[in-house]
Amino acid sequence: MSGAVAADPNAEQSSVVATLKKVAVVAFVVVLIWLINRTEQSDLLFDKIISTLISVAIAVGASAGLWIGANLLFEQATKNWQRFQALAAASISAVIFFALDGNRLLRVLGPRDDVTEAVQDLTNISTPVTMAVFLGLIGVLVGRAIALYRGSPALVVPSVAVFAVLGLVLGIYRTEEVAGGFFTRILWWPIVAGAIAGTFGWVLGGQSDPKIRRTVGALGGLILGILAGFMLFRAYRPVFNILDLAIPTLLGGALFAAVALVRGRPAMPTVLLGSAIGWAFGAFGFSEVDPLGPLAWQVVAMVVPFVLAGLWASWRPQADVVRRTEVSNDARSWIFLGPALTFIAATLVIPALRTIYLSLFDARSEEWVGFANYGRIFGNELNEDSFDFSRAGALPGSILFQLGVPLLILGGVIGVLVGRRRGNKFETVGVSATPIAIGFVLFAVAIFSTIRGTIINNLWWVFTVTTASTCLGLAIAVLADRSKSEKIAKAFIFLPMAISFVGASIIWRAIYQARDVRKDQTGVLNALWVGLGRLSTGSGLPTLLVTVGLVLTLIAILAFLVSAVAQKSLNGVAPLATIGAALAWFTYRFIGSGVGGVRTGPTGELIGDTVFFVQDSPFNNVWLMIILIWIQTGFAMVILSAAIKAVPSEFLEAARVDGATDAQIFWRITLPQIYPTIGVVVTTIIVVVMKVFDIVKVITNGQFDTQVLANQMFNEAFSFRDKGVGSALAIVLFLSVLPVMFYNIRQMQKAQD
Amino acid sequence: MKNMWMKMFAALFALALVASACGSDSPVGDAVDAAGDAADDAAETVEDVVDGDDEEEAMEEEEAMEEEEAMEEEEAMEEEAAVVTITGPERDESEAGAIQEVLSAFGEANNIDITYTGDADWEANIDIQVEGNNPPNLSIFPQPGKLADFAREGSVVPLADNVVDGMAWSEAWTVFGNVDGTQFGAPVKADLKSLVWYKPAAFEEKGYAVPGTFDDFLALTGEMIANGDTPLCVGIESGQATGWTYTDWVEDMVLRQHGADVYDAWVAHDIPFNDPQIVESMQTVLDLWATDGMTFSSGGSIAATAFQDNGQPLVDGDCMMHRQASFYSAFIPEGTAFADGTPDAVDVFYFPDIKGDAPVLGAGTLVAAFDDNEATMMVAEFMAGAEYAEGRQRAQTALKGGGLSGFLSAAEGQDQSVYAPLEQSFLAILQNAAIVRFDASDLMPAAVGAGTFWSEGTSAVNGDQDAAAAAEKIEASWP
Repeated sequence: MSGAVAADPNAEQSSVVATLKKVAVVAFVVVLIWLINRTEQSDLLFDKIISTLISVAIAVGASAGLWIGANLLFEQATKNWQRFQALAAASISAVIFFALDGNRLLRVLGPRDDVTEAVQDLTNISTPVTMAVFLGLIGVLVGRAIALYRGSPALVVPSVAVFAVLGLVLGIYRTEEVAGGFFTRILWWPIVAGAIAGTFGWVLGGQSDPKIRRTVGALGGLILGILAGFMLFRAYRPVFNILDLAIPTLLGGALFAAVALVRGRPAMPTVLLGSAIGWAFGAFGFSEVDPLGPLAWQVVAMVVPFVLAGLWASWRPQADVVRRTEVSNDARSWIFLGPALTFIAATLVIPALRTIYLSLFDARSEEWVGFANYGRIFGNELNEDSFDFSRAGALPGSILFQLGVPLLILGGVIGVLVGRRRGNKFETVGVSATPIAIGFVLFAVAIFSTIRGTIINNLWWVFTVTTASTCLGLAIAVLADRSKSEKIAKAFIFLPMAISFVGASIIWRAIYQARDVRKDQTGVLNALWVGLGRLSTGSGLPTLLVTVGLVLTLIAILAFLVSAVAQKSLNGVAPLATIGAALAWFTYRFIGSGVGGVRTGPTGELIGDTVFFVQDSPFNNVWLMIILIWIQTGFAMVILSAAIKAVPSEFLEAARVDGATDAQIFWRITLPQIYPTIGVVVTTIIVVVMKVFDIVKVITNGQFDTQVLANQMFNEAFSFRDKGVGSALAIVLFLSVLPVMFYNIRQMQKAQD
Repeated sequence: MKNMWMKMFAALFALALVASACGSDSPVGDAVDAAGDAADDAAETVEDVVDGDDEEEAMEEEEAMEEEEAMEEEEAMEEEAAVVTITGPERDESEAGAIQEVLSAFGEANNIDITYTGDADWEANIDIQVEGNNPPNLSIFPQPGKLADFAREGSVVPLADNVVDGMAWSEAWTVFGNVDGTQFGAPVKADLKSLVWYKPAAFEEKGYAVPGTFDDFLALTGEMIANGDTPLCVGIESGQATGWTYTDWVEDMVLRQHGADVYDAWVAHDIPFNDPQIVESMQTVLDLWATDGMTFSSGGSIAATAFQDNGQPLVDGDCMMHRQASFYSAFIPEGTAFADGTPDAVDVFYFPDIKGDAPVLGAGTLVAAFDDNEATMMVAEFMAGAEYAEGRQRAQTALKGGGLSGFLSAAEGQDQSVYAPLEQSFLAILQNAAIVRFDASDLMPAAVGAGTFWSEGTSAVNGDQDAAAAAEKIEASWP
């Protein structure tokens, strides 16, 4: 390293800069610590910071240590077989003993036994010096490792020094609060067991006579089994039942034998191992527990699997060079895969399987109920109905339905007419597609707002949020593309993504808030709504000005429309006419009966009329969805914007040369190019929306007809303590997300290709 | 050889650290402790195998270490204190601080090391702790229903005789901790719910009198409406618990209209939820609230008004009365005086009864034990007594900086002077009460008490259904 630095012409300068940087960092830390010390609760804060730092260091160090340790262990397989056998036996036994003793689930309450208490008191020492020595020893190891890596031995001494000082500091810091006997409580038995197993491993590694090997193996198992039995004498005592033990033992043996036969390996040792595991399952998984049961049973329960395992370890003849290399190579892959697989298994696979299992049991997870929980969900037997058709009769009467269906028909007729003129069955152009799209949305909302229930509501969320977020995101991405303020605009749209769902919900709850009509409105929307009402029904100058403005705008639109029709250029007439019609209606209401949040009271006086955005069902759901749309639009925009920028500019230029309009370029070139990305965006949003929880939890907790699956799951499982239905709901949610996830991953792979 | 041993110990050390993080109550804290201990102890073991250069160092250090060890052991011998841990849902700085303070004082006097942990997620976490075989020694239960569940599962142990004998509470309260004839919980805190908050000065000015019977109360509201005043502030919005204010009103009405026996039968599900008597009470509340000019809701409608938001309009005079529990003092705007005779002061009167039997709707917390160690039971006995209540009240008032503490105890034999005048009037109501009943929604199964009773009630208040329809749906949801 130093050689490389010297060769650099700017070395001196950069080293000065580097030094300055280091000084700055140190100064910053010092100032920070000083500031922290100045605060009132400095002790507490300082304590927390130190604890956090130590925890992080421990976590990182432990992971690295485990990984390096495993690597070193398997390196011995090819280097020194006997040592490998000893180390492997020792570590496996230590881990098993640790798992048995350290596991709180196996421990029952009650006084700890005097023997371990005594040992604990003897060995419970925590002084700066011992800490320094121990960390110093780790320093030796780290120093050696660095030295090996860098090829120079010079680093061992500083490394030892650094670690020793660290140990000293930790020790001084910790001396006052000597924590009670962690070492003896958790680690004493594993170390003893590791030492015994290591010795037997050593002997085994050096023996090749099969009879002696098996004797040694069995003896080692016996000793360890007795030890384990005694270790657990204050913990788990199975009540023996021959069926509970025999069936798993036989099953385990048979299973392992089958695997061995399929793989073409000798069956005998694997049968022994399978039986050992089966027995352990039987004793610890299926048997009844009795804390006061006889110790002998405990010892027998532990001795049998240990002896079987010892025989397994010694059954095969001494490994030859080929086998040793094989062991070493096999181990490498597991060392790399292991951490990830363990993590996935512990956090995903096992909980998922257990949830499925729990969903088949009753509320207390005690009695098997089969698929009854699922039956309750789909049979409308929960607190909130999953499907509620009680208001379906109102569908034909809803304005949305009455507007949506004619629009759908209109679009269809136009499409067919235009298509006939061009010789096709159906033509998708602006005039036919727009009414169909709007009509479809209105029709869908009409259905979702009359047919209710948790599952239907979830589908409504998926439909609305996915459609709106994707369309808005796409529109913004297209409109902002290559414009001057693109970066700023996109940054603002993306900003809500940075706000947590809970935070966003609290913000929007304030926006939706209503107050008593006699008071000022504190929610923005109600303030605007009631303000508009007061404006339109008022008689002051503002009302006059707005009226004049509205009328002038209407006249201008009308004039433009007339001139456009006169010149026979139909471009933009349809949208403008629509806007003009809407504005005309608004003006009519504004001048006439008034528009906005004001109504006429019984005695003719005007009173405010607030909207209860959160309480008024069913459209309160839409107001909740808007929160998620607000958050998700930024996501859709960023991804789609990137996709749009990736469309080759040759295509666009060629189209322009051929005289295509911007609209044509977008619909015929850009859009088809980004279809796979749209697929990814849509499916990702669907998955997010399906699982929507926080927004509903914070704002309504599912009341006022706003329940969704995820919140119902939480309530059933944790508020009402019905683990069965809660788990079943989780599985329903999981299964409905699964195909979308699958499609999402496929699309992503496609987009990458 | 040296290298190999070191590597092995490094691996073991790493294992130990990971393990400690998995196996302990609080991963962070214990992992840190574990680091200390494991490091020390392992160092000791390692020294035996270290040779060469390190040995001299190790020898020296070992001597130093032995000295310190000896000293520590001596210290440890002197103060071998029993350790008792307590958890509970109260975690406000003043609440948790007061509990810890009074318990620490007791612990010091009796050589017990007591730690109280307030947990916002107590309800979920106590389940997890019990399931993981890792419960605290004592826990403070806000719901007798949950305590009964735990007692029947065998998770909590019956209170020892000294605790049962030492309870300073009347039978009306201790019965909440009694499960199937065995005392599992001892009351440690009381909330009084049958209260109406009002401004005496405003009453005086308009010539209103504090009603003595429920009919007087109704007549008073009529008089107020006729005078153009709004009698009641009502709001039932409470985030995830929206609706509980309505259930409190209904419970008070059931107690008043039909008496304690019907109330008990209702809670125990001996009569269905949609029994005509219950429906009558539910409808009474709905009709009362729906009367024209009866309620002021700062949020525009009852269902949209947060229950916390009713303090300000009461002070402002937008409404004349507000029926809420004793803890509502926390939601009266800061700076308001309580029952001291000043013009702006706020006071309470007892929500009047119908039959003259003075029933009181209350709530409170119970302490229950997870083991029967001597120290555990000593602490439980102390907490069930009057001395604890006094001490906590004193500490909590001090931590709140004077005024109302928010704490209330119905333990007998307390020195009343530790309470503020308003709190003393709470105590007077409690002492006059012949019938005390615990909040029904806390006693019913959670699917009803924290589920449909709230949600269907809210929907009825919102005008989407009548009481009979709501009661029918609640009955259907009873597990």
